[in-house]
Amino acid sequence: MLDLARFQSEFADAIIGSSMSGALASQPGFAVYRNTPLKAAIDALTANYPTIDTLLGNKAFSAVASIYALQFRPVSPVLNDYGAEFADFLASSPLADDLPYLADVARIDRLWTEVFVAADAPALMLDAAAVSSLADRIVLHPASRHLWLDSPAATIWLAHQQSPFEAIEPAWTGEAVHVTRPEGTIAVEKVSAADIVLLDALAGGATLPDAAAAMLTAFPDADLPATFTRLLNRGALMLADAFKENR
Amino acid sequence: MAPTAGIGLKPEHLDAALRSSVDGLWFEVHPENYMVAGGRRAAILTAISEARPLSLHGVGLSLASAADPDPTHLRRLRALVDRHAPFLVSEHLAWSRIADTCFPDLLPFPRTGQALQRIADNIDQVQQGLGRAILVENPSLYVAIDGHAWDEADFLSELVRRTGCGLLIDVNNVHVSASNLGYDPFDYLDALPCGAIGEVHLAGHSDDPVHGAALLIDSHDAPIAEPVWALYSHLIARTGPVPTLIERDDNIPAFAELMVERDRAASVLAAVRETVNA
Repeated sequence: MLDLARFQSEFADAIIGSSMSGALASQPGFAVYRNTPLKAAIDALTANYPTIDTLLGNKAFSAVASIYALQFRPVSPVLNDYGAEFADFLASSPLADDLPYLADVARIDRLWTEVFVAADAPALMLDAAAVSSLADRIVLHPASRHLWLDSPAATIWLAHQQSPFEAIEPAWTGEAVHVTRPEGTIAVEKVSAADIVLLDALAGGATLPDAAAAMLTAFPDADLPATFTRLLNRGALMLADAFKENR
Repeated sequence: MAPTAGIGLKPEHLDAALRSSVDGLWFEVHPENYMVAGGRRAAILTAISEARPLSLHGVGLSLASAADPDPTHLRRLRALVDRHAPFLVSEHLAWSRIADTCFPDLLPFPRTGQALQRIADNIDQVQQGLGRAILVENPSLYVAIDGHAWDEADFLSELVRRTGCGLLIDVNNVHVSASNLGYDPFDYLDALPCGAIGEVHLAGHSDDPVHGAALLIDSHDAPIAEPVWALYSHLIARTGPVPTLIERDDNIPAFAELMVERDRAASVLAAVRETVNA
């Protein structure tokens, strides 16, 4: 009798390409089983990394995506999550020689997706001035992601969200990006290195007063009230007990 | 009104879908696209399930694997079932996972006695995990596999008998598989246990770009073909009215265009309902 586990294993090998022979893989229809998972993976990468698709053009993107998809098969049927290693893959690909910002742009696309699917929770809505009594209970909202990038990828990412986009020549300098979901709409913006110190501290579990102190120690001239107001406007903060895990 | 003919929901059609006042209209989604913690996707599913009957049509449980259904995936599906109370939950008679590798596809297997027992066990686990019965869908097939001990229709009947599951019959898949493997699709439909059929799917297919009509692809990128409508009428004449879904996943037209196909299915259902009541 044909054993199911062995059949699956041989069929998977034939899809992946290590065993082309046999009565199954030689049938014309077998190509469908090779092409369909690959197309689904490429489609998922196209959806999850739209700015890389824009930067490379769809033909070149699909070529790169197919190399990735053959090397990193999905590990879950939930393809929203697919492509976790794509930025690192781009960083080590030959494309990085000509487009050294590409991997960082992909990292911003990834943050966008993480924020898009992040949990709902009521954002902190208070006036900045009224918050001192609650300060120790304030934490980052689940739909807040930030990252320091060693390239001007935030400027490049932002410039490629509209079509047609204007040619830009950003100065080669590191940038910080903050992705939030105020009122359900995703906001991507460049923020200061000082902001990243504050956000890193909050993400690491520091209280807001301690995070603010860390920011002002590193950047004594930083405008803390302006940063705090921006975080409130972006829905980036909440009270620690406002979030109920409902996954 | 009870669900009659429905449409596979595309996020871009959400507003038109919510505005429609058509009687009996319902919607289906792939739960894998809505396994999110929150945000717009979660809000879409809440809005639709509050407005209309909802069906969850899974592609990720890999029922025809020689391994247990992934417990994490099953838990995530259960969370959606609990939150949105779908009137139907379905999966495919296919596999898509081996160890930690997923193939986003619906892969075939030899219909042996061993496979039957394993798949029945997997369906049992899913039904226990979800706390409800599911429907199991017939696949589109592209290659001839040596070693089948069961016809597909008999295999499905036996799964129904052993697990209490129902069937989702995708009439386009019947057409595609019968054409690709060379059997009579009407005989296939006539061999199904019609009392177990809880849902019907209709979709478009296309010719393979290399092999033409000798190899039909279940592409969901075109209107439903006339031979598929003929099979549908034949099946519904046997089963009586069964909730029927129009599936379209590529080359997606305007909502109104899908509603034309949906209304045609609804009129087939209405005609057979009158016959039953006469």
